[in-house]
Amino acid sequence: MTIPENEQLENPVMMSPFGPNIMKFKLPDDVFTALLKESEDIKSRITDPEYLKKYDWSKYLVGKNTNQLLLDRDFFVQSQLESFLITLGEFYLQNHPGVIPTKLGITSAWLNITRKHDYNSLHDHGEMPLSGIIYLKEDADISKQIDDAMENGTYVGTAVPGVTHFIYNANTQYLDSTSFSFRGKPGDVLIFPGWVSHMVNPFTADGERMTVAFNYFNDRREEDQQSK
Amino acid sequence: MTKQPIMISPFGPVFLKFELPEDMLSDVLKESESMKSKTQDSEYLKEYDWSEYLVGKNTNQLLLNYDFFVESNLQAFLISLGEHYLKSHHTADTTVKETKLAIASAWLNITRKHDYNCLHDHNKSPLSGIIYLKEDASIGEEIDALEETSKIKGGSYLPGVTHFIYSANKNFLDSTSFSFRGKPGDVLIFPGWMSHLVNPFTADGERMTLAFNFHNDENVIHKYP
Repeated sequence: MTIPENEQLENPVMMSPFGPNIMKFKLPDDVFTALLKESEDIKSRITDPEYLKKYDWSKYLVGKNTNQLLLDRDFFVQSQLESFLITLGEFYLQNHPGVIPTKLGITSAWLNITRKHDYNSLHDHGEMPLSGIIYLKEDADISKQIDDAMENGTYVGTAVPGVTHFIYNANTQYLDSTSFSFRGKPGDVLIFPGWVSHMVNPFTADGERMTVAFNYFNDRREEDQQSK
Repeated sequence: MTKQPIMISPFGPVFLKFELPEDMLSDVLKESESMKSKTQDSEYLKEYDWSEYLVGKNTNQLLLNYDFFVESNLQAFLISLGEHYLKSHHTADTTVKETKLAIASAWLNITRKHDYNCLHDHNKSPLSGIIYLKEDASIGEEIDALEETSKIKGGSYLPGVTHFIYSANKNFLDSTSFSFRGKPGDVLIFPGWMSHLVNPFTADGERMTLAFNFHNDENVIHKYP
């Protein structure tokens, strides 16, 4: 009888059966380019009080960010970002065991512009079946600060600045995993149940970080139309 | 959608699943039958009945003979698996990754009609494990039939299957329980604090598993030398 050494073990299967899944995908290049362009256009209008009256979304959000601006509905539809995200959300549900096929809509999508000392405290989008984040931009100085923080080990767990930390449970046991930290590359899309708490710590570097966040809803109207 | 999205499951503890080498499974099965044949011997039971340390209401729970455990290489094999679990864990804590393990105890569970293991954990052990040895055909048929006909899908109601419970409360799209029906030779390793249970079956026949606890502390009680 030979006893396998650790390195000789033929790939034991490691299973992670608990908690919610977080789905990751990439935005198509053309949609990503259009969204970046739209984001820069939105940014150029933030000194216009009439624009802010209509598009400033910060009053509905807990984040303390430089700007949080509702994405224009026409752009959202015509760029096909809406239909792309709906397809992704419905794919998530279709691939989840025990979920009745559900038609989704998007309640809102907003641009987060974050600069030095901005932060998103721990929060959730509780009433939404699914929510998501598109990662758009992380300026070089911010990247360097994050890299340094991760490399020198002074920031452990959920302390790293400028990345999204998901918290499943505030208490953790030996060999348990109750948080998940994700640093998105430009174009990454992340979809997760609306109740999963998440937060972003402030960075102190100069520069800008941009994400688009969005919430889904169960589109009963579509179900009703189908049943007619 | 041309490319497939990646589904990440970042939360909760991981389970390691592996298969016992065939010759080792044969040896353990042979030893289990030999142990079973001695359950009428009161002198044997005095030394090997392990049920007083366990919550299960099973027909027999018998400590595996230490000499067999060592000489069959089962002990060394399980220690390799346990240390592989820790070494490959995504924790950044190197003291966890480099922990040297030993086995505190390993015992045979012989379960028959109406036996059960209520919800429990092995919390003093860093890791615990189960080797699935035997599921008689009649028990398998009962599980299959219930799985097919029941309107309830998922959950932890099936008999004769190990149900792991991470949390009693559950959100939409959350997964807080995991049910595992082992095939003979399957080995499952998980943190000792992970609660689990086995519901009673009503079929005639026998189910056998071997459970074991790891330790990394000389002060652990109820353990092999």
